[in-house]
Amino acid sequence: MNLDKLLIIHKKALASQKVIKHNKTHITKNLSCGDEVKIYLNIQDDVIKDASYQITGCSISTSFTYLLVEKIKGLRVEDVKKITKESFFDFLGVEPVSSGRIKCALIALIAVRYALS
Amino acid sequence: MNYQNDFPLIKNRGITYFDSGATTLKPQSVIDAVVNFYTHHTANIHRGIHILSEEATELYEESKEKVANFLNTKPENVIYVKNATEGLNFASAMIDFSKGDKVLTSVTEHHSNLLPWLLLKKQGVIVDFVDIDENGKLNMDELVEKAKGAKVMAFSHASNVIGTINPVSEISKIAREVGAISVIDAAQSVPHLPVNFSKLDVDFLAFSGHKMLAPSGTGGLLVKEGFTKTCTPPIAGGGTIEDVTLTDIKWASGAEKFEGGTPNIEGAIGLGAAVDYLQKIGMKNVRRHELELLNRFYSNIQDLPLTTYGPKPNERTGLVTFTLKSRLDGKMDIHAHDIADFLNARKIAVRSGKHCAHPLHYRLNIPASTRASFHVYNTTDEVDALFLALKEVVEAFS
Ligand SMILES: Cc1ncc(COP(=O)(O)O)c(C=O)c1O
Repeated sequence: MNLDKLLIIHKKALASQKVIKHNKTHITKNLSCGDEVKIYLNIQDDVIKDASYQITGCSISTSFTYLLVEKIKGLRVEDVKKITKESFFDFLGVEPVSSGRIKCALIALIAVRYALS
Repeated sequence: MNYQNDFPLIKNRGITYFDSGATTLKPQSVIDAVVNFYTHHTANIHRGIHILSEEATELYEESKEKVANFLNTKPENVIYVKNATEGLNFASAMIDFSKGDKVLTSVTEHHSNLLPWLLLKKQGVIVDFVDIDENGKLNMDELVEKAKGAKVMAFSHASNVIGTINPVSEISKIAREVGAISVIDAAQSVPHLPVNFSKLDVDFLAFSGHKMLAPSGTGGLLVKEGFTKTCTPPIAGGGTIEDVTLTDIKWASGAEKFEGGTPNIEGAIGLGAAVDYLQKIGMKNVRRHELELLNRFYSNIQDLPLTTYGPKPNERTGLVTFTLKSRLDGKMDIHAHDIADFLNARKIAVRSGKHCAHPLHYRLNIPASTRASFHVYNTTDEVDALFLALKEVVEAFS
């Protein structure tokens, strides 16, 4: 993803933070850089009816949290559980980030997985 | 003076390298010294009678003499280790601790001068910390108070985050007064300032070669006269003894006792070449050069929404650590990794994160920071380019 596109998503992602009515939640932190993601999921009949997040983090962790949360809304829990670190970028349909920033991008996936487990 | 031509990576890659706090670039003379060893002198040291072994031994010992002369001590008090981390761990292992002993250190330390002491807690050793003031300088009153009853006082000579140059002579004097052993982490001072081990009068001092233009895997632990006799080596093996029977050990004298196994011979030779290079410039001139870069940075940044940490230029080493907001009145910091990524796209290399100093970041109440660290090959033009790029970061994120 080029920087211009990232910055556009980042702005949207910052503005889209909220807490929804939820029955699953998890906080994940990346201690080395101070990022923190809170994921809220509303699951009904094994389907993610709604999802949201709150985040302090860099543009990549924030943008990818937004992209992931938008994408999993309406999906079956078992399908979301199948997303791996390897399939993450394909699943979102975006180019992978540089190897130094993979951890930033994946923090949301880790948070969602914990919230589902 | 412009030293850039001595460093082939700059020409080969065209990168503005501001990450010397992590490791420095290497001048051609250091690269040549390592290659020359491999192509003309490869052999193990202290072992063979053959000509190559003799040459390798001579080159290795010559390196030690250079380092000893550079830091003003005797070669037999210079233990070669793989880096400052190993040196500090050696120091902690060479001191006999008992339950209830106290180690005094500070909130600013790199993990390498923190964890070796925290590890001792399981032996019942107490670790206490001196705080810093709002300029990032050690609270000396607190230090004097807490020094009472300390067995070890372990402080960095210079912080790798806030750059503060600590008053090591004063600390060692306080340590002498209370009968404590002083251990100095000089990883960020030896590459940037004149350091005189004998004059500082400390007991242990550790540094890394790779942060002072030398190859990775090199470094030294300098020990006070007499310590090599009385201390037990943390590791032992080939090279550390004069004689051993199944019941008795007669240790080798001097630093050899502590250098078990084949050392990083080519690295040591490269370290000697790095010392030659730095001495040719002169450490006072290295310091002067870095001060010029620091002053340039600080005079540039006035109108940026930037917060720097640590004291003013003449009280700090050649590095700046900062956080940046997207506007002057902004609340949110631009994340350090975003800044580093953005600068990377402009071929400027800086470090972002917590720089192996988590407690200091918690103390400063910041999640992460960006650090630009300098060495002789940096120029004021590069500092200006950094400033302009930071302005662009602010614009991009505002
Ligand atoms: C102040 C300080 N101490 C210790 C170290 C550890 O150095 P090394 O990784 O070479 O062992 C560093 C390296 O960043 C440092 O900056």
